[in-house]
Amino acid sequence: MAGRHGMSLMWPGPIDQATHDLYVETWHAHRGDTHRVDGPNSVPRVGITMVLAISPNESHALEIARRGLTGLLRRAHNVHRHDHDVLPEDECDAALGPLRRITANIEAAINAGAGTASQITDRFGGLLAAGLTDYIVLQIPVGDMTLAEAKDTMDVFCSDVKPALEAAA
Amino acid sequence: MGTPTFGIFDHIEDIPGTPTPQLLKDRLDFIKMADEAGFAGFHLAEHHGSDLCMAPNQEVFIGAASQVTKNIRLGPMVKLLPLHHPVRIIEDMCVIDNLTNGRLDFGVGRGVAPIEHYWFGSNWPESTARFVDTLGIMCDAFATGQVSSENSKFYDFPTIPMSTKPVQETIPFW
Repeated sequence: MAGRHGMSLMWPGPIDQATHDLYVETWHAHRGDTHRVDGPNSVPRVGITMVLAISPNESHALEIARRGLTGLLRRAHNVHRHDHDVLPEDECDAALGPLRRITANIEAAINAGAGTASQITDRFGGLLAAGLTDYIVLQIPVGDMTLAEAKDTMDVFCSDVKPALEAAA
Repeated sequence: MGTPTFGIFDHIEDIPGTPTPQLLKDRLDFIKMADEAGFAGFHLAEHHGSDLCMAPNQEVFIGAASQVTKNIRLGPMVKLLPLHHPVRIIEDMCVIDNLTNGRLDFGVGRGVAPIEHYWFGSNWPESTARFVDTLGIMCDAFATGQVSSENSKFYDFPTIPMSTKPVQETIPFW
């Protein structure tokens, strides 16, 4: 959909080569179609969303990220509980598909976005070096992550991680 | 690789024990902090009727954020197109692009929670068709400077001029 209509693509988590290529090919293939939102100087662009929790202690960072994403998913389920007011049971169940996919990948998301400053620098550096994205969108704060934890993570990201990633570019 | 950029994606979830005025002020302070640290974007989700999203009318919050930031780009991620009248969407976009002096990034989506469609008088089975329909109205509007339902299957309204034009020649869509 994003490629067809000339949009940038925001992808949940690290994007794989095949998905990236399909998006870019579709973006170019439909250039000039009606109902495009791109301009004359637009190019395909991919951003990725990542939960982020940084702590000097890796296990603490993992706990923060897990609590954050668990809280996000609990709240997302709260929205869907009202689906039963308007849809039959089988359609309610089908509508939970996207949420189930996120839940299935929650450990991968936590392990990718939680760690020490050095670990995050290495992992994010690897994502950027792959060349499929140049825009990492951080989910901070998220769910039951406290604002203080989010600020601590932001402080370290800005002082240690961000400069290192920019210098490596 | 090119210089990487970084953004923030937020739902503005409720925090038990934190009064909502404080919650929203804290988030504005956080965005200001991100702006001053050189973050490229702030993207706000849209959900309704739950503690998942305490600023469901994104434009109101983004309008406030526009006044405490200087460089960071702002916008919904995503605006649930089937839920909203296209004239309202387009007028809100144009005002925000002016309030931010051309810093609007606009994410669009269909919405994955069926109940949210019914809460806005829409419906779930038609949501994909309504998404495409509204997107088409938006594309035509930004190309012509007026909002028309001429090619719409779901709307029928007299053509209305876009009195407030966007600052950006091309608003980035996600």
